[in-house]
Amino acid sequence: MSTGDQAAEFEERADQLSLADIESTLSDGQIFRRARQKLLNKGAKLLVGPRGTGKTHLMRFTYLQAMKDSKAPLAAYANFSRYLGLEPLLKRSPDALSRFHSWVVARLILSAFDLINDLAGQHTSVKPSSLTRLNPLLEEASIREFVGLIERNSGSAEYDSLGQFLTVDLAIEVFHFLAKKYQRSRVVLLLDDAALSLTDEYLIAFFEIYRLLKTEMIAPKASVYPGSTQYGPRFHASHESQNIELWLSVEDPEYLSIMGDIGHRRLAEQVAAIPEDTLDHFKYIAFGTPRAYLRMIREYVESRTGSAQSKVNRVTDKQVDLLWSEYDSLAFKLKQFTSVIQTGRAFIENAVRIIADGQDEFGLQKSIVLGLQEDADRSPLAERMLRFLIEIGLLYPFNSPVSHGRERRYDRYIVHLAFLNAAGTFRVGRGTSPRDLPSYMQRSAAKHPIRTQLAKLLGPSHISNLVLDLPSCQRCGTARISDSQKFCHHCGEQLVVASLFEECMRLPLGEVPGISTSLLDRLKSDTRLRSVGDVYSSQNPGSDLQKASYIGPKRASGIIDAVGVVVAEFLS
Amino acid sequence: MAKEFRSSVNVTTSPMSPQLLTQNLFDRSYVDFKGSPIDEFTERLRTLNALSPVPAAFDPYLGQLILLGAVAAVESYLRSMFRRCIALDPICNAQAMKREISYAAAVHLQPDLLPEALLEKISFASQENIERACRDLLGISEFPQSIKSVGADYGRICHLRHCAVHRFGKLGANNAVHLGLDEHFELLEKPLLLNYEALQNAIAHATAFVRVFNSFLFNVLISRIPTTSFTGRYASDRTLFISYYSLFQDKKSVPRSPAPKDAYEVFIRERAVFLASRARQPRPAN
Repeated sequence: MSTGDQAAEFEERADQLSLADIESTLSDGQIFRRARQKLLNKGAKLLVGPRGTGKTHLMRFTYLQAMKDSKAPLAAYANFSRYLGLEPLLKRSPDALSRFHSWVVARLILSAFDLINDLAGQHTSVKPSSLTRLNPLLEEASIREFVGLIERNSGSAEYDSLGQFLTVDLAIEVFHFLAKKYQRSRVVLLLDDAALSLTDEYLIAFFEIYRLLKTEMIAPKASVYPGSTQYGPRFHASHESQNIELWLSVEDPEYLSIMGDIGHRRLAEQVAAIPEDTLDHFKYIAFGTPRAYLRMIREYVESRTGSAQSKVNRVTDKQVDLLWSEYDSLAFKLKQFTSVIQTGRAFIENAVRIIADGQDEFGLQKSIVLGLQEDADRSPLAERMLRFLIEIGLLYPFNSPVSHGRERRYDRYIVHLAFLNAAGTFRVGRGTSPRDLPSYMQRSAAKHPIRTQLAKLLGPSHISNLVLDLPSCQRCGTARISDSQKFCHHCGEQLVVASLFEECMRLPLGEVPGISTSLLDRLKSDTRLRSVGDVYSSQNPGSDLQKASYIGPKRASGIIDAVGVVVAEFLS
Repeated sequence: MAKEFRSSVNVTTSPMSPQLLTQNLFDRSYVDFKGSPIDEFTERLRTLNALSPVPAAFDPYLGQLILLGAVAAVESYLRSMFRRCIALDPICNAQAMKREISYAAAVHLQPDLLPEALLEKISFASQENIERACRDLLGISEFPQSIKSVGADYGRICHLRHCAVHRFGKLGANNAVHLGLDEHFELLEKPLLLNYEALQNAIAHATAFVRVFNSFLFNVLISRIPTTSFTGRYASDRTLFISYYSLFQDKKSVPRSPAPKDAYEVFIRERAVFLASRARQPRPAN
């Protein structure tokens, strides 16, 4: 992704919106209204949707609404997106899980402090010091310091003196205390970015805490990616909580109006300058992801050259590229799944082919649903492959399978429309038009999905590629036996796995978009900053950067932001 | 007095016993390992791990024996570490001076191996024992959470070892109490049944303890050296620093310890930051 793309993507993220914008720009579509209600209801819930479907927006909106409405439950908002800062601990600290536990509780307690600060105007009687009086450990500045340090791979002393004493019971006590002070009968904890998709160990530990938080008075709500139903041995999503689906289906009757509403609220001026058909085309290409829709609107408006149709094509093609590059980056982040992720790509490509080939020759029916026969002996890695595709948002799963006769049950999916569009599935006649896709979607749906089996769709060579890619022993090169192996069975060496976070920190500054060669040379000759990590982990990156000639405060902060975007991208 | 009746039924018989000269069983030519105790530990552990059967041919009994070996490797690491710390570090040495050793050891052991005799009566089979030995022999009284947590995990491995050594793997009541009676009371007198993954995990706990302890001990000892002993110039401080660092340096694993000079620079920098922050704090009024 270029800097421009990253910056645009960044602007669409709800965590970059001001609180006022959060309030004025939430769509009023039914799916959001219902989801908002469920977030405030009793009981543990999972808010499910791939990236860019509006989970953060909805949670922050719900937080603001609950704060204002004295009859609503007390809501606190905590975000766990920075969990990968703790990932290196998994590789070098035997007690990594205990430290992670402290970090989660510390973030929960900070959300209580945020709430007190946000409510300070209405309730002057409750102050941050009220919590400190409740328990001297509850001191905002020191908890913030602990969180900041542990996310940057330090803070051992702070863990010993403070972190290790932060327990779930303490967090529960804090929220009970606040509910009483603010005279609210219940508490809702909005736990955002809880998918923790790159570290299974932390995901399991997180949902252990989630389970403990669930009390008569407290209802935890966590935002996660779709595709997972299992969050560790003791937490099964369907038993422990209810799902709130936030991924808007392209077949939802309100689809066009909800996406349109989001566009109007966020980018009214730009939307007004785009023809209706083109907007509808972008809505479908976004495949239920408002963030992608907004990015396409911006890009269309900002693109100056070419005819309207060539602009549409360019923006649409770019969306396909972005989807693939996001998907392929997974293989880089989760190296043990490289082959599985590559096979997933073949799955999509083959599925697109059979769907494109399976279209009604008279052009009357809509046939975009793929039916994949359930097989009893499907391997866990084949399941994992489907989960990756769903997580990233390339494959939309229907909740219930359909039955076609005895022992022939089919799971149904819709493959991302951007891919089907690229394969010419919706084309009418010879040329392309932005009208094609919206009018195709108006057709009546075919009675049956396009049915296939996993083994048939992938073929034997791809099926045999569904294996784990485990790094061989770093000492003798012998291949590993299993994922859980700790020592080489040949030479006895303890096996090590590289830390993802540390790999990101090792990226040279040349990889950061927007840093020119001459700027790089100056940084090299005048400073000791060489890698992303040197800037990211510096105590005072601004002044370090300004040691190079021609770098003033403005340029320094530009570089720091660019590094931040690279880290966020890499670790998201 | 009438002789008492004693029967002589041959219930079990045994052939002639072969000769076993225990004095020939120990390697006379052995010269003590020259590297650091952690490197010796790593080498021993590799040898043991390579003996472990692969999952397809896993034998739980052999698994138990390998686990015993791993715990023996940890104990041996601790003995060697304690001995060398007492020989090198003045505070450890002063602490050990108060202890007694056996007459045989005093007469026959080389002076540098004498501290080993101090450890003969000490068991390292639990976290409490290890902490006590650290207090009594090395003068260390504070243990951070990181050590406590790996120590507790290692203590559990020691209980598994106890079952394997003394009870052919069956869980004894005392071990069950230490492992957590609630989860283990139903397993009393049931045999330990290791599988490949469990054995690897148990060895990983033992290894984690050694690696965390090694780092902890180095930092305690180097931090106790009076500030005035270091000039801040590597050329002058090299000998003193390396005398300590080489005792702890890991040259055998991946990732290995930093080079001595790099480690020295981190140490000097941390010390300078600490001294500067202490200088900024107001002195308490007398």
